[in-house]
Amino acid sequence: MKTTRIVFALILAAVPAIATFASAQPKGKPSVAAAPVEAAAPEAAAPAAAEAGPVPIPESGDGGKWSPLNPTPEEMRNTSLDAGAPVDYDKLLADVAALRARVAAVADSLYRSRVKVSVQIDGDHAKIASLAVALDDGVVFTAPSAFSASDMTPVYDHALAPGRHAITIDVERKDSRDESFRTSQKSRFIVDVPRDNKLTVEVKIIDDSSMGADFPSDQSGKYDLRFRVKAVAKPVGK
Amino acid sequence: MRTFSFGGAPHARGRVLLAAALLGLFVAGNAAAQPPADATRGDKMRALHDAMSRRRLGSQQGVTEALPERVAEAENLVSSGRLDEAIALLTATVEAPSFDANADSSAGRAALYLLGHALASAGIHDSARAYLRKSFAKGWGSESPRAVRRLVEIALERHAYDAGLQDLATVPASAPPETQAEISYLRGRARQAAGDIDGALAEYAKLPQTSRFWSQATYLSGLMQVERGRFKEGEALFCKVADPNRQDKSVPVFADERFFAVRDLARLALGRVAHEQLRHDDARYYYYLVPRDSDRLAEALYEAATTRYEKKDYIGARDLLDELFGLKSHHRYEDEARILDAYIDLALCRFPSADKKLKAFLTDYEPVRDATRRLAENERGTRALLAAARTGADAGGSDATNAAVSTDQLRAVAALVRIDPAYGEIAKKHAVLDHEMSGLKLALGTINDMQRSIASPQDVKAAAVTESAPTDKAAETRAALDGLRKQVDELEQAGGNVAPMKAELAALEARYQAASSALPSTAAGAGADLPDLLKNEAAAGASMSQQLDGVRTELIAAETVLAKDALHRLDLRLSRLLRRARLGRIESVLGKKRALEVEIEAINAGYLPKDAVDSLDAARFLRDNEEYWPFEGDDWPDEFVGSEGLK
Repeated sequence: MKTTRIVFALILAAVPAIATFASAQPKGKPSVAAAPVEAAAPEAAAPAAAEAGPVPIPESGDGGKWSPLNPTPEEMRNTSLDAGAPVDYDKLLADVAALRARVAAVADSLYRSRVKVSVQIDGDHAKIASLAVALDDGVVFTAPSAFSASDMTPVYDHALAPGRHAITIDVERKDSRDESFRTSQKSRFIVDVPRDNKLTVEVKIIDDSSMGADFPSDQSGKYDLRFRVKAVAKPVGK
Repeated sequence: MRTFSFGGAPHARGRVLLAAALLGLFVAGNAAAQPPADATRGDKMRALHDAMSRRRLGSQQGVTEALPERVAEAENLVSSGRLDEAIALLTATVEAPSFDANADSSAGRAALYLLGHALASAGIHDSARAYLRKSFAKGWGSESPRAVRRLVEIALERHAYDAGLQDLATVPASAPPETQAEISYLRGRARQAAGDIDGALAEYAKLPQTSRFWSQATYLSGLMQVERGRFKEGEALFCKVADPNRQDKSVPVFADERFFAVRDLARLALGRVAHEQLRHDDARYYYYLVPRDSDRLAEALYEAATTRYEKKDYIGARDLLDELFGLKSHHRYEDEARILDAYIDLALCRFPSADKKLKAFLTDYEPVRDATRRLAENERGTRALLAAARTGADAGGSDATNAAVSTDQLRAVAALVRIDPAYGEIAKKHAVLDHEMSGLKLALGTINDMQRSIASPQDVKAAAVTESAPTDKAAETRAALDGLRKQVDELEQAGGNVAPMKAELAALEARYQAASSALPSTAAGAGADLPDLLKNEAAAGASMSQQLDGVRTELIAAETVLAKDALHRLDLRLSRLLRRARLGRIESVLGKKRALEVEIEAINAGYLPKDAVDSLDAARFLRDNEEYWPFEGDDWPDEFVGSEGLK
């Protein structure tokens, strides 16, 4: 009985001490790299490792052990997921693009009436995050990255049926001083294209916003994004 | 054995597997869908040209005279981003009956190349490849190398290496060395994707340093060597790219944005190889090579701090973390860096500070982890959030707000989520598809106008502009459904029985999908005259519109799977870090306890603890308006102070 009590007392004294050291210094080598970036699951790496034989022992290691803060294999990218596009994606897109090109070519031959849309972005600190121009709800221009138009820049010029059409401008702007301050606006304008005339539509996007400059320091700023549209029709050839 | 991860790029082996999977898909796709006889799809354009010339429509001028002018115009359109117009202009030009006589001229080849280039830039790869192949099929000219470059770029972008090599099968052996190097690189990628490592290494080794792909090929070779455990060989290859002495003056061809991106990746890779081998000092040096203006700086500083921590150089780790926090910019390691920061405090026995940091971490990130879980249950919210995270748009203003999650939490999740490169590819495909769908809508409207104009030439279009745009109505319905979903989610969180409401919502969603994709059916025409051809085009367009909806649904499903996976991985990471934070708090308590024990032992041994010594410091007892001048050791023993000699 006495022996049991002594053994129990020894265990009782030893366990907290061991637990303290154990939790303060986690043992064991983590199974993934310290780098917490996208990596394959270890299942993917395992066959390669097996083929290559044992991992070479570092020749000039300077001590230390791997951090317990390293990520687990489950957090890495799952390469077995189906990330492919549908099989007829490319073919279908090619068919659609070819049809669109044909329709545009026929319209160009059939109609003398034209519309020319130009865009100008006015504002010292206005940067375009996205800009799309649509004609009759079909997008005809999407601004490429780093698009700028300090002067009136043509974005669409094509023949179309005379009559009324809708031009839609969808813009998202960001402040060059702090890009997290953004605002977007979508406006739809109805224009009338007279027969055998070329309608020039000039869209001025005026941005006098000051959020990016003022709000971070003063906790006060304003968004001021406006469109000004001017349309002028002239007979074709003049 | 630890696995490697090199930069934002996927794990090399993972990349191989993914590429193989994608390749498999494309091969399956090619096998399932028989390619059309004319991959350029020019036959219908030629039929329209014939029909128009019969009606004396359009310019009766031949292509020959106007070709250089049209090529110059198309070049301007492409350079200003007006790709749709360039494609329309060039398609009409190269499919004109008189173009064949000019196809082999310099301007003819330029027109074919430009059309292929414009189509590829718009994401229409199938037709682009056909026109680019055509540009050098009949003869090799001075413009042909750029067509080869573009074909290689398309193959790399699509991960369709074998299809790319087939496109380049007609390139003559006498092509310039730069062109041969392009093909070697593509062949190397194909071998790597097929798992033939030795073959890939041999192809990559053929690239001269003047090739634009030399740095990529060398880096990939290094990855493959490391993957199979040959660290020394891998390191030697990475060193070639990462060499600090390699400057734009010595090797001008490297001095572009891509080279510097690969060079930074090579430096990170060197750091990781050294880290893997526990050569912490070497790793520190390699990480140090990543320049301050690099996108990879946060990554390099965090990993360098980890190596110092592992080497028990806690002060060095602290300095690096301070540098990382000093960047004052959001990065994807914010959460991990905060935990490492607290653990460095633990290691330095600064228990109160560590505890404070860990407590703050738990307060900040526990709601974010919960928000991640809630978001994962909402497919549209998940997709919208990841789209915002990928493009850098404000997640708080995205469609993800329809989930029952606060905007701040949305922003926090968007800042932390690590997006799979495959997700970016799918999202790009989705954007191209949406653009084409929108363009198709305009084309169908134009066909309608043309049919009416041919039937009654004096008629003027009275556009459907008196009513609001149909897209607006669809958007209103969508917003109403989103609001409903959010309310149901909130009710569910509050513990209500929402099963019947969910079923009703699903039925409404199905009705919305059906209504938004419904299109009137159109009959096809039978003749070869313009009205018949337009009728055919209208029928084909309506059919394509329905097919596009199907493909769009499939793309959304793929996007959702990847988006959910990204959120699941974020959930796992945050859960691990939160567990680690709780463990750290336990350690800080144990540490404080142990510190008190040491203090008691010291007092017992007759030593005053530092706190007690500090408490005797006179400066601690001064008021704000008092000043303490401590004795600084400047003693003048010969000075009379009035009490000398007194007894």
